[in-house]
Parts: sequence; structure tokens; C-alpha cells
Amino acid sequence: MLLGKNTLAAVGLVLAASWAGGAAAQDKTYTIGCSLPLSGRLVGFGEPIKRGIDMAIEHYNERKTIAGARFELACNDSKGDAKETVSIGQKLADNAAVLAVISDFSSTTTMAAAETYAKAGLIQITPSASHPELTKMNKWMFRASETVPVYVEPMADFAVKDLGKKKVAVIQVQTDWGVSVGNTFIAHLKKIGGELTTHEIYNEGTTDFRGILNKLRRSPPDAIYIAMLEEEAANFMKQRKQLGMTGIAVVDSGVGLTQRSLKLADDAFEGMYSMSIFNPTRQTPEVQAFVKEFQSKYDKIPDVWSAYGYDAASLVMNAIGKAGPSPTRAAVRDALAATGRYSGANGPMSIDPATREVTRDEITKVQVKDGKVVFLPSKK
Amino acid sequence: MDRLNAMARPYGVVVLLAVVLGVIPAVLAAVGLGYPFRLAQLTMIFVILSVSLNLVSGVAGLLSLGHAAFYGVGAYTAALLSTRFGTDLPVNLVASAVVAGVIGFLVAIPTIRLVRIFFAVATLSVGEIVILVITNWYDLTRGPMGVRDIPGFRVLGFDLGSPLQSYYVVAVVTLLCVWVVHRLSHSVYGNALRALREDDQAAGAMGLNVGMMKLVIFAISTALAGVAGALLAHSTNFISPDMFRLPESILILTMVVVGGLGSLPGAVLGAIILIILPELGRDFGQLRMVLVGLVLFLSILLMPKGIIGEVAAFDLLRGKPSRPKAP
Amino acid sequence: MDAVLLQGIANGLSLGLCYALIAIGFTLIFGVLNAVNFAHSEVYMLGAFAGLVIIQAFAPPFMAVVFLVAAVGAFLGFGLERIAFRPLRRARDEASLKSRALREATLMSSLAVGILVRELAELRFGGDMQPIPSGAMLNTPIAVGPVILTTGDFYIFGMAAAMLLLLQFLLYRTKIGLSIRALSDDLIGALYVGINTDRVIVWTFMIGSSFGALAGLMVGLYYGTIFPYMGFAPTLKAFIAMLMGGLNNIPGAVLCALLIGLSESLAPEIMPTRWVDLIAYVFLLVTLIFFPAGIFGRKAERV
Repeated sequence: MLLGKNTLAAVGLVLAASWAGGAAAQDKTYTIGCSLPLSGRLVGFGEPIKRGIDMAIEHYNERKTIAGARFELACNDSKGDAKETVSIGQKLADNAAVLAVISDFSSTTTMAAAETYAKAGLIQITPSASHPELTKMNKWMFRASETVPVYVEPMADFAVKDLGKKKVAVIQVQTDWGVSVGNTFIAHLKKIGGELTTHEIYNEGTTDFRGILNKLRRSPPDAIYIAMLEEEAANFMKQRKQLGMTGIAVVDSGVGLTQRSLKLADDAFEGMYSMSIFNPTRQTPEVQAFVKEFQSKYDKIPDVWSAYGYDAASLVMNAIGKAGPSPTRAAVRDALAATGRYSGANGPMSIDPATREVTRDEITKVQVKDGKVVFLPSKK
Repeated sequence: MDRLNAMARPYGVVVLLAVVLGVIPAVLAAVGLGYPFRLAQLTMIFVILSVSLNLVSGVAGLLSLGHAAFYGVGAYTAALLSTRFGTDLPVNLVASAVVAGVIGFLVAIPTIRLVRIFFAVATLSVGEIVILVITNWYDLTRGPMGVRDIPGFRVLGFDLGSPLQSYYVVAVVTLLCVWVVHRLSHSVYGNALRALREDDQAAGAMGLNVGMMKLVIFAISTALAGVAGALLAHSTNFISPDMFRLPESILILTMVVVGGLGSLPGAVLGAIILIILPELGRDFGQLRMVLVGLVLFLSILLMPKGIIGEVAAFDLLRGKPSRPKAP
Repeated sequence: MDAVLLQGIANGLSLGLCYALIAIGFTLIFGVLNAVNFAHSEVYMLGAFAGLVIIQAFAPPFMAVVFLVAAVGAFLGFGLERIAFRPLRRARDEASLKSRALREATLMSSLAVGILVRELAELRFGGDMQPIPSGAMLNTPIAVGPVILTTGDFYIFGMAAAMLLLLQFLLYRTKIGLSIRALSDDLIGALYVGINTDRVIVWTFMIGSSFGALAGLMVGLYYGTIFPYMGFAPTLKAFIAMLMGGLNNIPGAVLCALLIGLSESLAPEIMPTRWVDLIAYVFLLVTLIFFPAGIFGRKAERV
């Protein structure tokens, strides 16, 4: 009897194995690496990006968008630490199954690992980093996000021309991204005839901005442009309100305003202007499908970070599909570079095949009203 | 027995060299050329940091919480020299050692006469000051962006950038550094340092120039940290100020404490354990720092002398028990 | 004086009071054992988290939150002493109790416990800042002439004053206070005259840690910045204030904390903001070099 049971079990095992083997013959599994801040101070960006990536992969696997291909994510927590991204990069590069890597959130961490990926001949696509130098570093570096001038210059125009605020103060965080945003804004501001009243740089992790705010009153600006991460922006705005400086308009770079920081700042964001690459009301089929799918999966409205993650993963999977039945890392790279025009969760964009720069048709201005982000109609 | 140990000593050195230069690279090459080699290089860099801190904090008893800053100074010196002037590794190593050592010496002049925790806090502040200056002196250091595209190891025009070659470069420099620390700490000079650790007033009364000795040993230690920094810059090709902050100093101090304050083999072992252990735990993600804290806490509580205590280290290195065995 | 400068001074004093609030408990604990308690920043952090959890769960009146958090802090202090300090005081002889090795061992063990607690808190709550329930923040503006203060400024001032008064009462009017002073003056002497040193040390940790937890609560709700790493920077500043003040001198530490706060608040007027973080460290180095016993220290002591 016992023997019979074992035999049965063995037969079952063989059957299961042959079935699994059959499935494997139909679908090849490709691994996409990923390195994001899933803990630490930048988790508020890393998590939504990961949600977007997860959703894209699930979407592609369920609907078999790429025939005969299944995708798998190998995600690592970089903690927003440059050293970690290098280690993770080395580890993913060693894993021959990995065809492309989505890495990392910030400009600094993305750049840190660039050399590692280039040496291994592996695509590194950043979902969100916007430093202009990024794609100039090596031919393996891609981005699903636009560069700094694409979203900074329109905001300078917006502040000076639309809002009529000529005297602007700029406050920026001392990081790669902050320096780039601050300098781009100031250069463009001067070009269009605005006046820079104060330019202040603070170190990452600052919590008390009252010294800076108080200093602004020496030469009062009409508007303040802030290049800050979400937590810092929330603190800054709370202290601005506390010091009764709500009369001065604030224009955010687009990174300070997130769903989390809106909660952190309570009502202190009221009236703040910002910009968004992502616009859930944008009427393209891709954006609407993304919003609907995200809502049914996570039960909330997606934000720009999830859209970035979704687009990065989709771009990579499309490229793997185009690279043929047995894609190599180099073939995937060339396929990704040849993407050209792409319409995704963040709306339409195009990738320049030579410089790998991303351009967008438009960015959306937003304002916080009654604790909600309102999308301002675009003026054409 | 004594003779046996005395005979075993030269063999010990041969075995050590064989393992570091032969067995380990062979095993690593079998496992894979990328990540294992990077890990091995990082471990050896931390071995230098750990033994150099041990010289100051273990042997001379000056608790330093700013060691990583000098590591950073060395890394930036090598990175800036090689990216701006294209200098080779030997030049960079010497320059990093000199710059870090001189800054260490200058910093030590006012702080060295502080005792105990004052010294610890002073070094902590010096470390924070150095990092803030590196972060904000934009024109020189490119600030928070860090320095990128640092060339790999190059000696006299020969490119030694492959994983195996890099491994040998780091290994040779590390062995040299460990040998220097060994000669310094297991000699009359080392014993004099131990004397001023136990009681600097008594040491002064014995005729030792206490202030000068502390200055010199601090400068030597920071110079060695500078060497480690240069190795890091060339092996990761990228450095940024964040890599040299207080948590890094604490990690190095943890290595020394876990291995055994004042014990050279302990410091080496401590560095190996604290680099490899969290790497093995990488899959546990966030638990890694918990692991570091736990190891530090347990070792202070259960092994206050460290894994290889100072006295045990003497026995090991001198090849004979330094004190009579209990009958 | 112009309004901007006045506002700057007000901001500086309010920032300095935050540092002072931490420094009080820190200095008290240092005074008894002459050992640095690196886990104080974690007590501070846990105090803020405890307050937040209590507010989210029950939304009790503010005074109730204060007492509950003080109790949590006292409990944490008790546990901390048991885990990180007492096991290292194994030997009872004079040499080892006074030894540098013991102080450094407790420094390291408290550091280790601090790392552990912080990382576990990050596992539990995440590394990011916690949103504060609307209305729990202590930053409603109050205009005083040309200067704008907030409710939190008054609360924090009141808390610091209450702590100092309570300490004065405890230290000079109660038996346990007498014992604390005796230990702080001479540990071995206290042991010889029959004081139960372990008990006194536990009491000191409980009082000091409940002050630390309250500081975390107040500052956390004032700025709205509650996250696992919140303790590091302000505790370091409080530590610097303690050293500048002369180690065992609580009023001195409070004055120096105010000095640091004022300098950090007024400095952006004359220098780029990104260099402001240097001020406290430079203060510390200058103090250590020119006033080795602290600005308000009484005697040069070899610690």
C-alpha cells in the first residue's frame, strides 16, 4: 500500500514536471533588475515607483503583451545610498539572466552605479532621475524621465509671465539634482527678465528653515521657487505659514509636492503652485487605462512616480520583445535606443536614438486648493 | 613547544601570503569575477581602516569617532589628482597618505591633549566638519555630486584595472599596511604607546614624550586611512561625501571593538566579519544594520576583550605565551 | 532693532530651547556615571513616537499625553540601564568602577543599543516622516508685537522651566536627589557610605530618560518631524551644549544650547546657509581648545 502511494506520488511529480517543462518551452522568463530606495528617507519615492513597475510587469505577464515572454523582477533596496547602488549593480551584472536594470531614484545614486553597468554592458534605465548629465555618461544609460530644463524652464516662464511675479527667490537642496534645478531656473529667470532676490542652498536633512525664511524678508521676493524633496518641502511650507509669510507665492519644482508631503504639510501647502509630468485627466488611452488599472489594483489615484516606474518597466519589456526570440543585453540596448516615440502612463514622449534624451510634448501646471491637487488648464 | 612555535612563525607568514595571494583569488575566480572581487577589495580596504584605527584607539587608547573623515580625505585626494592630472596609483597613494596624515597631524595638535571622551567628541566634530567642507566646497570637490569616472588602478602607465589585477593591487597594499602596523604595535614603540594608554601621567614620568607620541601615532593612523581612501576611489570609480560620514566611523570602530581593542589580528578579523556578515544578510534587506548593532552589543557584553584579545594576540604573534601558564 | 532681526532672535531662542530640552536629561545622566549615553537620541525618538501613537489611538488631552510619554520615557530609561549599563558594572572595586575601560564600554554598548533600537523602529514605522494628525501640531502662530511666536514656543519654554524647577526640587529637597548628588560628586564615596548606588543610577536614568522622551514629544510636535533618525542631529547639538556648559552643569548646558540656537538662526544673515551646520562643531572645538572645562565649568577635570 505504502509503495503504491509513493508510486502515485512519483507519477504525479513526473506529470507536474513535464507540465512545467511544457510551459517553460512556451514562455521564456526574462529577468529585469531593479534598485530603488525601498527604505530610508527616500522611501516615499521608491515605493510608488516599485508599485508602477510591479503593475507593468503583471500587466505584461497577464495579457501576454510580448508573445512567449514572461517577466520577473529582481528588486533590491538601495536605501538611497550611493555605495549600495554600486554593490547592487555589481550583483545584478553578475547575474546573466538579467537583461536590463531599472536604477535608481535619485541622480546621485544613478550616477554612482553608471560605471559598473557600463563595464558589464547592461542597460541602466532610471525611472525618475533628471540630471542633464545622466545620459551623456555612457551609452548604456537610459531614462524614462525628462531632463531638468524640460520642467524647470516652463515653471520660470509660468512664475514670471503667467503669475506676473518678477522678483523670485530660489531655495535649493545641496544635491546633484538640486544644483542642476537651481542653476537652470536662475539662468532662465534672468533670460526672461526676472530678478533673483535671494539664492539659498541648504544641506540635505535640514529641518529648520526659519533662518532662511527670515532672511528672505530683507529683500522681499514676489515668489519663492523651491527645489526640495517632499519632507523638506513640507517643513519649509509649515514654517512659512507659521511665520505668516503666506503672502509670498511658492512655486515648487514638482518634486516637493507628493501625496505624502501633502499629508505631512497638513494645510500649509494651500495655494502652492507646482508642475506635474503626470496628469490623470490627460485624455490619452494609455493614461486612462493606467489610471483605471492602478485604481482597481491599489485603490487610489496613481502619482507621477508610479507612472515613471510603469513607463520604465514597459519601455524595457517592449525592447526585450523587439530584441528577438533570444535577446542579448546588447540587442536589448539597441532595441531600447530605437524606441523613438512612446506613449505611456506619463503621456506621450520621445527618446532620441543618439543622445537617449527624453522630450515631452507638455507639462501640466498644478495648484493646491482646499488640500487637493488641482490640474490647471494648459494655455496654448 | 616554544621551538615549535618559533619555527611555525615564518611558516605562518608564508601560509598567510599563500592564502591572500593564491587561495582566495583562485576561489573567487571560481565563484565569479564581478561581485566577489569587489567584496574582497572592500574587505581589504576596511582591514586597513580597522588596523589603523586600532593603532590609535586600541594600542594608544585614544577613542576616535572621526576616522572615516580621513578615509574620505584620502579618497578625494586620489580621485581629484587622477581625474584632473591623470596621475598614477603610486603617486596617488603617497599623496593621499601625506594629505590625510598632515591634516590628521594639524587636527591633532589642538585636540590631542584632550582626554578620553573629549577626544572622542572632538574627533567626531572634526569628522563632521571635514565632510561638510567636502560637501560644500563645490569648486574643488564637485560637492554632493561626488567625483565620477575615477580611473582604475594604473601603475607606471600599465593598466591594472581588471578584477584580478585590482585584487592583487589592493592585496599588496593591504599586506604592506598591515605589516607596518604590525611593526609599530609589536615593538618597543608599541609598548610605549600601551604605557601611555594605561596611564599617560606615569608614562610621562618615565620619560616618554607623551604629547608628541600621541601626535605622531594619530598622524600615522590617519595617513593609513588616507591610503585606504585612495584604494576605495580607484576600485569603485566613484566617491561622494556620503560615504565618509559618522556611521562609517562607527562601523570601523565596531570592527576594532569586536576584534579586540589593541589586537592586530582581532582588527583584521573584525573587519572581515563586519563586511562579510552584512553582505550575506543582504537578502534580509533591512536587517543588516540590526545585525551590526547586535554584533557590537553582544561582543561588548559577552566578549569585552574581543574575539582575539590583546593578550591572546601577543601569544599568537610572538609564537610563545607572554605569561606563564597556570599549572 | 528691526523686525527681521527681532524675529531672528525669537527663532533662535526657540531653536535653542529645543536643544536645551534634550540637554537637560542628557546632562543629568552624564553627571552620575560620567559616561556618555549614546542611546539618549533613541529615547528622544521613541518619546515622540509614543506620543504620536497615543494621540492617534485615543486623542487624549495634551497634559495626559505629556504624563503618559513621561512614563514611557521612565520605563525606557529603566530598561536601557538594565540592558546597556548595568551588565558592564560587574566588578565592584574602585579601580574598575573608575576605569576608562568601563566608560568606553558603556559608551559603545549604549551606541549599539541605540543602533538596534533605531533600526528596529525603522522596520516597524518605516524610515520616513510620520504625518501628524491635524490639530496635534504645536505651531499655531501668536503675534507678539512685530514678532511671531507659536504655541509650541510657549509650551517648550514652559516644559524646560518645569523640568529645571522639578530637578531643583528633586536634587535639593528629596532623599533620592541627595543620593544623586552624592554619586555625581564621588561614586566610590557614595558606595562607602552605604548608598544603594544601583538604585540611584536607575532613578537617574528614569528621570533623565523621561525628560528625553518629553523633549522628543515636544520638538516632534513642534516641527512635525517624527522619524527614526530624528534624534541624531539635535542630540549631537545638545551634547555639544553639555560639553560647552561644563559637563555637570545643567544651567550652563541650557545657556549654551540657547547660544547655539541663536547663532544658527542669525548666521544666515551673514553667511551662506549651507555653512550654518558647521557652527556648532566650531563652537565645540573652540571650547575644547580654549576652555577645556567648559565655559561654565568649575574645575578642570580629567574625564
